[in-house]
Amino acid sequence: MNRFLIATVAAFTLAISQQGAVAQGKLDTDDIVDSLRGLEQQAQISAPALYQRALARIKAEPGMSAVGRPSVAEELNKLPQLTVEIQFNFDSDIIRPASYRTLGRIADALYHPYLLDYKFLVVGHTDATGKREYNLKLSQRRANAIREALVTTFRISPARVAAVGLGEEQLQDPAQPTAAVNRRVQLIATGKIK
Amino acid sequence: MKQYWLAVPIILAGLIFALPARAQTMSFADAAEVLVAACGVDIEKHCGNVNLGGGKIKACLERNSAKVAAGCKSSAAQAFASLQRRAQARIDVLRVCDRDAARLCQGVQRGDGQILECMIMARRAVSPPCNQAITDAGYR
Repeated sequence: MNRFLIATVAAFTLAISQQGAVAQGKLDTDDIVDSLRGLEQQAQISAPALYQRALARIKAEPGMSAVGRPSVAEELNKLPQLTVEIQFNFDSDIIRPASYRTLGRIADALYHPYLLDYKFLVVGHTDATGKREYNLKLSQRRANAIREALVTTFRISPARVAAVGLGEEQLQDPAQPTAAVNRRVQLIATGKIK
Repeated sequence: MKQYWLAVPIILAGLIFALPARAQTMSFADAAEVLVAACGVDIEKHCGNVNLGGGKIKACLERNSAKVAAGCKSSAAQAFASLQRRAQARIDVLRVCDRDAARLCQGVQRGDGQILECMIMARRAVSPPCNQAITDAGYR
């Protein structure tokens, strides 16, 4: 109820001050808030531990088929989350300018009263093209780049955002491990800050 | 004659105050859009190995100012100033509204988010500085 009021006021303000496209962007921020709210329990999630788990599986089972590969961190799937498309330069952790607006939109959402008391995990994923350990490292660097922008450019409290790369160990579509849908970034609510 | 002397500073003051006030209401997404619309090409061309975070794009555009389009320079300045103001306002709002929160939102002590929501809803009852802080932070 309250949320609708805030959203209506915000959308109206933008509609009269900026072009229509901008009002659309503001509504997208509201969608992000909707996707990330409603965490019921504190999740015990540690970004470094998740990374180590993925790395350990790569070392322990180097011959594991990409087709049908199970998620390395199944517990993440139960938490409030959304998948965002962030464009990076090829084989690099440089975020393309085309995705700056999306970063801004995420940061706007993280300052929303409904999300202000929560912590979030940025999770980077690759598809299954290339070496698994290389992909793991690349996705970690990409997740780090997103976190860095959120906590510096947009000054989100560093305590609220963690970053982890899971490479090709948590495929969106394990039946088609090289499909583009696997290359993605997730934003996941993991707990309260205090 | 005297009236002109009076009018000029008033108009100038109006212009000076009008510009930041407008920028201050921009969301992060809109500020990012301003930056990319004017500087996207220059960023890809001159700052293609630099990330947005840590002030690196800002520094790179300044470093390459001789090669960067004039429109990009002014828009980047506007966008980064707006980002800075909006972020500062969002960080400051709870401190500015501290007394209002103690007065109006006593039953709400579960977290900053709920307190902020209470302040936003209590528009008519909160102090002018708190209302201004809420507006600067883009919450209404």
